[in-house]
Amino acid sequence: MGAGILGDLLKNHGMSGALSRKTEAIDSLIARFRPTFALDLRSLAVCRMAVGLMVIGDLLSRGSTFRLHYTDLGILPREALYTFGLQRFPSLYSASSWEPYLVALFLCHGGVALLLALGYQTRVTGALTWYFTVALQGRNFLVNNGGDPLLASVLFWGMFLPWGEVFSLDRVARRRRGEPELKGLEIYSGATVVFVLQPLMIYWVSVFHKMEPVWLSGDVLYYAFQNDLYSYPFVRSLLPHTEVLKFLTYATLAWEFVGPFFLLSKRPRLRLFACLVFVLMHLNFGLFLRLGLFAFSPTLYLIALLPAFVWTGARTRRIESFFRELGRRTSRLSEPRPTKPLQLGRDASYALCVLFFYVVLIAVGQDPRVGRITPKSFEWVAHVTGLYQRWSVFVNLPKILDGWLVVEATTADGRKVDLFQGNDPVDWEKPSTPLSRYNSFRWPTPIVVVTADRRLQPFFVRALVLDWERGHPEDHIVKARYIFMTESTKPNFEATQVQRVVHWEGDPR
Amino acid sequence: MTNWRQRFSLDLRSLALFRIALGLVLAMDFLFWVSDLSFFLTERGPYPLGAWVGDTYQGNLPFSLYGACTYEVWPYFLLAVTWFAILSLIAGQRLSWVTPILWILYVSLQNRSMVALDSGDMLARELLLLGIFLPWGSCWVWGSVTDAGALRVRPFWSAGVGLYLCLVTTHLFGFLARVFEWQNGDRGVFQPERLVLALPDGWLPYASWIGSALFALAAWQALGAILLVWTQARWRSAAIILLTLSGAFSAMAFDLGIAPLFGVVALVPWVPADFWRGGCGEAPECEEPSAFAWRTGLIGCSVLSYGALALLSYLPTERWPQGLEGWANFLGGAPRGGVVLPWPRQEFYHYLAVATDAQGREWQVDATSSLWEQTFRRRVYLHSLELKENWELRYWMALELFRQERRRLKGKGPKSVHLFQIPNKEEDSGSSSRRLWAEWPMLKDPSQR
Repeated sequence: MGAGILGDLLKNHGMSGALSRKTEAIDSLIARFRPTFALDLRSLAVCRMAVGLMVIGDLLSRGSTFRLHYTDLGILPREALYTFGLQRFPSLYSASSWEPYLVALFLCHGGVALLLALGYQTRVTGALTWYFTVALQGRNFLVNNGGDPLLASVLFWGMFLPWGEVFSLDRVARRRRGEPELKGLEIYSGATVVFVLQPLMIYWVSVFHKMEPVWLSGDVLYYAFQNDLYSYPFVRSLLPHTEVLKFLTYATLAWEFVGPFFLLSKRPRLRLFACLVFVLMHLNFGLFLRLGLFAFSPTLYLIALLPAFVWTGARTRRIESFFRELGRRTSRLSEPRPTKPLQLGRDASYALCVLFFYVVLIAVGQDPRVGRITPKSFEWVAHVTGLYQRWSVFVNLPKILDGWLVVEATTADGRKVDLFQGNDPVDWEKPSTPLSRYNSFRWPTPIVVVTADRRLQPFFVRALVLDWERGHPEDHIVKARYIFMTESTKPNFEATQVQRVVHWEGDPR
Repeated sequence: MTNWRQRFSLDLRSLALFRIALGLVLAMDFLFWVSDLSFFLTERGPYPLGAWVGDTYQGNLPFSLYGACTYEVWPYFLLAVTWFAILSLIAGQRLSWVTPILWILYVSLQNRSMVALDSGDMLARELLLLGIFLPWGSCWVWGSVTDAGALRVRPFWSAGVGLYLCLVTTHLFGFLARVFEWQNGDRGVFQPERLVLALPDGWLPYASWIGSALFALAAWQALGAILLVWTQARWRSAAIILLTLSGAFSAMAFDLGIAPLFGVVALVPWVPADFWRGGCGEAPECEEPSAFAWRTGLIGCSVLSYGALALLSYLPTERWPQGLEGWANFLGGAPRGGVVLPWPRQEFYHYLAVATDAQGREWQVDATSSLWEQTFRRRVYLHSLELKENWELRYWMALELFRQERRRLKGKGPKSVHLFQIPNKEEDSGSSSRRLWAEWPMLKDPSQR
């Protein structure tokens, strides 16, 4: 491998002696980190399969709220996106709002994700899956949670990794044609460095954000479990166990700081142990809180970090024979085109590392104590790559909106109904769950954002009105009010008063 | 059947000439779009994406890549790609994917500004669409020598039928629309009462005759389009020449923008094979169609053809098959058959913008450079706004003037802007019947006007 552009520059300026010494030093430094940052091709391949399946699962989950979230009849029509300049990624999902077109895009999206999982034309399908995923996330940023940028980042960095070299239809076709393959089962490049560092960055930046009074006092779970929008009702039964909750808070904080060091370990078993603990931690989060995709997407990085010894034995042979058989059966339909194995040059590796460093700066700059570090004029890079990341998850919890939403609507015959909770007539008592009519983890975030942004409230209400009238053709809504029933959590189990705050009212059309 | 193949088969050189001519006219049209860039395609003009989607919100949901992103550079990027695709079309390079891409880009460009379109634009996208299914890169391609042997055949492609349908629907249904208008007591632009407004004073006594002549012209165009499939070269050539001349006359009589040029380009594939005899020896033989030609051509014609949809555009939309309406809207609304709504060169109205500050002082705003500078599409836009009674879009125009005035006066600008419409003829005669046309901020309920 050459010394890249920098090396060429030095050479042109007659500094080849210094260059060779520098190159040797850099090479030796790079070689030293190989055991830490090299990834096993089989782990990467399983990560690729998991990514493809997760995208499909995500699409199925999004499909249930398709009209309300992605069309002009939904909570964020393109009129709002355009008027407020919020469409920052060139998204095909925003090019039209005709439902058959959007359905066709969803099907294409799912199709390329399936092909990615199967390792068919992996580089092309990987790039397309990344595009469609970021485009879909960009169409309605309101419904995204932490899992979405994480999935987008896996897909982006994955484009620079040879994750279709094993356990794939590409490999089966390549072997049949006798084409060259990568030597060995280990890959080490700038992309693998970034792929290892990305989850570490998430944990460490997250810990940095969490250095605030609520987390340090150990009360975060006390607040989180009482937040009606984000927690499941059953977790309230854990609230009396204050000491346990404090222990879990500190344990999470400590593990998020220390655990990444284990992920960097050269000892395979220690790395595996760290991966398993992190997976369990995320699944636990998902068990108690409405996190949806965010409970599973960090697992993708952890799969890629699995050490090589996991893939010895019958398990690997079974996967390989599955792909051989699949390749044999599908070869008549379509054979993948020949492509060279992806090997990233040193310049490209440097470029990826610089980009990753930029992403780190953006993530750190989200903390108000630090403030923006990167120039605003460069922000488009993060938006266009889908790498705009923010990891201040569950920080400053007492200030996060807590309560439930009521969208009170008056019908033409004078009845008052609740369009969001689905109550006819309106019931002002606290519901057993704040998402009784629209039960998806994709609803809390839009409620939080829309409640804080008056510009978006008319669109939100209009979407619910249209949705109600579709389900109740006999009703004609003439007036509606966006009301949030605020029930902030007070410290030490102090009683709280529910406040009825009317944020918007008017003719929904 | 062979006879019909003879009629619809197209010479490969005529097709290649058609490709080059279409590319050149598209290039010219593209430059017109670029001259109106800030007006129609950017967020700084009076027709930002918010206005576009608000205008098309109720039912019409067209596809446009221009709506994919709100970054300022995005339309510039798409226009740059469009330009290179046009050059590629002219040069005949990588046509198998350049043509569909150019079609998507052009549909996107036109759908972004649907209120500024006319029938020439519709024809342009029809021709591009059918071009996807035609072998128009068989000769006269930049950097490659044409195989003379290959030109000795004249393949029959079913997309050629689509090209014919394009022409027939454009002219025949345009004429039928005139007839129906006449029957309904509204003779459209041909009625002498409207021509009076447009014609120079010396021509006024002949307004009725001129209206009849224009009606006859529309009838000839419809007939000429039907007769294009004559097999005798001389008759076909005569039809082409006469249609070209009548297109030129229409262009002189009416302000049709670039539409007549597209009409002439649509005639080029029908240039008879005998025309090329000097270059290649003898007229080629008609060739049997391949299965692929049939299949792709039929897909193009039957599934996507705007020609078929044009037939339906004369039915009330509620009688359309569901889905077809959605499809038509998605691709840019129901196409208009014929050169619909041409208007005389002389405008019926002019507009006056008046700004008012907090103290109630009024002054006239110079809107010539920003709003009604006389480019063809802006005039179409103004007429569309007039016809549609679209208050929202007018509001955006007033807002644009307001912003412009604020910029000019460095923040000490007006409190409100009112736009007035004034009829030209009445003003000449001394009476003024100006009416409030748009205002910012919108103080009155539009439904109360």
